[in-house]
Amino acid sequence: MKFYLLEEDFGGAKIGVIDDSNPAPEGARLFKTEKELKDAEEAYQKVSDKESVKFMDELFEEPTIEDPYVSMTVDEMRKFTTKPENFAKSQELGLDTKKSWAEKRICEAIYKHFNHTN
Amino acid sequence: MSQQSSSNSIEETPDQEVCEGAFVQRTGRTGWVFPWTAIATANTGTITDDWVQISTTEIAPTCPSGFSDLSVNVFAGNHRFDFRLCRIYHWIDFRLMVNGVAVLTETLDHYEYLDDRHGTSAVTGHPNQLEIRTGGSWFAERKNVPSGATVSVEMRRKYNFNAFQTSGSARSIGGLRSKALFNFSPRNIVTGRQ
Repeated sequence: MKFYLLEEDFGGAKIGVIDDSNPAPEGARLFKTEKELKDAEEAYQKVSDKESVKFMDELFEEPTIEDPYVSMTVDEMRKFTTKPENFAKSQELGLDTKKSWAEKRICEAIYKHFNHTN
Repeated sequence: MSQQSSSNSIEETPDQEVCEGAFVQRTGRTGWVFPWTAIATANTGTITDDWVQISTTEIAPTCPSGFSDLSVNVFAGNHRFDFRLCRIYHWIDFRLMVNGVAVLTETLDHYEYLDDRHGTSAVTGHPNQLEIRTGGSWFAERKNVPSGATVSVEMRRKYNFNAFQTSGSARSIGGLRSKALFNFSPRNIVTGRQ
C-alpha cells in the first residue's frame, strides 16, 4: 500500500490509502510505508493543534460588525442602553429596558450579540 | 434475453453475471460515544481523544468484478456542553475503515465553539450554561472496495477549554444518535444488449 497526507488550512489534514482507483489529491505528500505516514501525522499534529487553536482565537477576537458597541465595555453599554435617547436601539436588539432588574441581562445580551456568542 | 419478474428477482441466463446487493447499508444509531470529559476549571490545552466507531460494521456487496464503489454519509450526532465563564473549542475528525484499514481520514472537519465569558470580573452565582449542538455531517467516497469487505466509520473529538474566568468550568459529552449510511455501486453497469 501507498499513503498520502495533504495538509490543509487551519491545521486540517486529509490522509488516505492510494491505489489505481483512489489517487492522491494534488499537493499531497506521498509515503511508501505506514510508519512513514504515522511519523508525518504525528509531526503535523503539533502544527495542527496550534493552527486550529489560533484559528479559533482569531474568530473570537475579530470584530465582524462595524458598530460602536463592539468596543464598549459592559459598563459603557449599561450607561448607553439606559439613556432615553437610546431606547429605540435597545428595543431593536430585543431588550426589555422597562424593568430595572433586567439591566444586567441587557448588558450580557448586548455583549453576546456583538461578540457573536448567541 | 433475461427478463425481470414481478417479484424483482432476476432470472438467470448462461451469459449473465449478477452483482448481489444489498447495495445500501445503514449502521445502528449510537448512544453517547464520546464520554464525559473531566470537569475543567483551568485551561486544558488541546486534548485529542481516541477514535470511536459509529455503531455497526457493514459488508460490501459481492460483485463479479470483485469490487464496488462506495459513498458514505455520516451524522456525527448530538453534543452536550455544560460550561460557564470560559470558552470551548471542539472539533471532530472522521475516517473511513475498509477491512480494518483507515483508507480515508479527514481531520478538523467539524467545528464548534462556545463562549460564556463576561465583561465584569466579579460575576457571582452565574449558573452552568447547557447547550446541545449537532456534530454535523461528513461525506466520503472510496472506489474499488473489495466484495465482502467490512466497512465502518470512526470519529474522534479534539477539544480545548480555555479563557477561564473566576468560577469557570466546562465539560462535554457527545455523539448521541450518530450514524452512517453506506451506498455501494457496481463498477460496471450493463444497460442493454444489441
